[in-house]
Amino acid sequence: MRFFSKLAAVLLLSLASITASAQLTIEITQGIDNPTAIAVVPFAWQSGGTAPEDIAGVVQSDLSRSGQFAPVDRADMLGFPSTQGDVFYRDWRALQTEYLLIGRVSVAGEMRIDYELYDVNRQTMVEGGTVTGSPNEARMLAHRVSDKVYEKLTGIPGAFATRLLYVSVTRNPTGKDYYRLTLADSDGARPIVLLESREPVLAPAWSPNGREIAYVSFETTRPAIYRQNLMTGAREQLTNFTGLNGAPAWSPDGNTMAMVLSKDGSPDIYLMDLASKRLTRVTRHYAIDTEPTWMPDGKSLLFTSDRGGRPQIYRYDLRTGATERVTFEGSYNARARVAQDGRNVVLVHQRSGKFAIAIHDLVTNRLQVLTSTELDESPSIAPNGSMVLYSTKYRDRGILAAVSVDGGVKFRLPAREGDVREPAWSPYMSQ
Amino acid sequence: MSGSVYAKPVMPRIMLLPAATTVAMHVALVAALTMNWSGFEEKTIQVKPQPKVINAKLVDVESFRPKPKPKPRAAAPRPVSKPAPKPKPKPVATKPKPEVKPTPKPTPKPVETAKPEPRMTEEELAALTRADLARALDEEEDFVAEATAEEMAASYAALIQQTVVNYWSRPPSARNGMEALLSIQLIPTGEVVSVSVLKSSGNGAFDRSAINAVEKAGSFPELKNLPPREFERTFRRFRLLFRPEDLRY
Repeated sequence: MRFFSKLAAVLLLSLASITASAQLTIEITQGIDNPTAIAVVPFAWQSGGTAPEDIAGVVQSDLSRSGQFAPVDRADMLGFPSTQGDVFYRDWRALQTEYLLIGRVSVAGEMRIDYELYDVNRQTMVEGGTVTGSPNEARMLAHRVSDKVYEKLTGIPGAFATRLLYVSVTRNPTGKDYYRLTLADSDGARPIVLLESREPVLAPAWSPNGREIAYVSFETTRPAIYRQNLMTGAREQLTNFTGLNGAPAWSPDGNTMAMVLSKDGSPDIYLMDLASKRLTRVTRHYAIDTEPTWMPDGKSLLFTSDRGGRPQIYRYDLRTGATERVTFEGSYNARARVAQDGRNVVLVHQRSGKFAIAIHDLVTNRLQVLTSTELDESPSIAPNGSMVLYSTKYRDRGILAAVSVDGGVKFRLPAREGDVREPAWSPYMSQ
Repeated sequence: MSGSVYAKPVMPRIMLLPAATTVAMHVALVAALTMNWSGFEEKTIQVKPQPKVINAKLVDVESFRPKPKPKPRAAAPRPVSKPAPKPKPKPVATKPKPEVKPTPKPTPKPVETAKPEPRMTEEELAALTRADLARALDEEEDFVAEATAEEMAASYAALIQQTVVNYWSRPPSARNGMEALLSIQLIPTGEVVSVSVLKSSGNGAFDRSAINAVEKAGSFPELKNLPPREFERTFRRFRLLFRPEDLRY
């Protein structure tokens, strides 16, 4: 009797607990990743005269270019609210926009941008903030607003407030070509010429803090690696060896530079301690070893070598000194650059005679071709790992183009005169 | 042999009444409990083990048809195995018991047990089978009702799932295996009246994308066709688990 009633009680309890947790759960394991609809309302100008820059316009084109957002056309907006009190969610719901960005700009000595991001569906503010800076840097301030919005809505930091280095070549039919090492905003705007030369300039590279650059210049008629401070303009020649001096690559801690030298025979990878200028030879092979790049942890290098007969990517472990081959797909993989996650490697891959940009996953060892143009080269990955910048040919001219790491978004940077090549995307700039 | 035969009836005669009452009480108690449980269980089975997790892998509209079918089939054996054996043996046991007891009594008299026994059991059997048949029919009807209700619930769950899938736009920071659990509240028109995060994925953008998917879906007007009982039972309040499996990594 007692046993039965105990058993009954236990059974009853267990059943009761089952009924309590028995709520329907529907599992969603797929999605359709459409760009997020966002309305970027023109920011209100709160100082005298006219606004020096269309801040909202810069933000809107940033977000649009990322491919993650589908901005609402200004002509479709039913109002231009600039404060929370003026926001009528119904209007924005009618436009089927998910988010709404409004802001105010004023200049009193320095420029101040206040912005607020609203979730239209839930009718709440998601993010609000202020960026300040010199009025001359208005576009950079706008990019910083884009970064904030992008990070909030995508979960990864934005890389709009970054810069690009590239080499442009102007053909001169009557004499030597002009080479210009150029610095521009991440959207290609505000180009500044850092170096102008009648001799080739190659392989621009960034220091990890974004304050210095390195490049190869033939200005002495022989290739040499230079290092240049962007703030002061101070320049230093790092190498002057016979033969090849090329492909500088700053280590993540900023203390060492990997480079290619052929002073001892065939091109090999060397490391230079930037303080002492002491050289350490890394590879020792009769084949060509070139295009070194650092893994983000600084513990190994990737480089291109044709020691297997055809150019492939190899990895050199700085602790063990071991070299292993990384790429096996196809007969040509070269010029690797590693994303900050240490997983995605962008490279030039040859497929059916065409040189395309591809992404190699170091974890799965899978290679995915991102571009379908024919002569793509020099991939450089954004510091947030979302986009790859590369140079390609368009209407017989060298231009810069970008592709998202999933291959879904492609755009060309505004074409400029001459051929543009060898882009290098900066790291995050310390502000 | 005969002594033992006598000894047995004597013993029960003394304890028959109390024993019978206790047995009857136990049987009644257990029967009552099991009846209640089976009532409960019908609900739990329907709500919990069957549609509890509906995988979004089969998302084509085509997959609607085949999907609910295997489920009721899978569901059917379970209710059978659980509630059926419980109520059945009890009524059967309560009746045969008095029958079984009289039968041993005639057996000691003559050895020809075969003759009287069939007579008794034939009538009893007839009654029994009739009762059984009726009961079985009732149960079958219940099962059919259960199956269709379950089928309905499953297909509506699939519909909700399909709708939400179409609205779910994941941020680039989303990774396979991330999980956000939302609690959804509907009103009988199918309109979403509340969405809240029960368990965050730890990634704000991911959570927001999940909430937005439901908000954008806004309502599931097809739920109006559900019987109110079914709506209350399953869809008044339910949960959505967002766990991507189709991302690059």
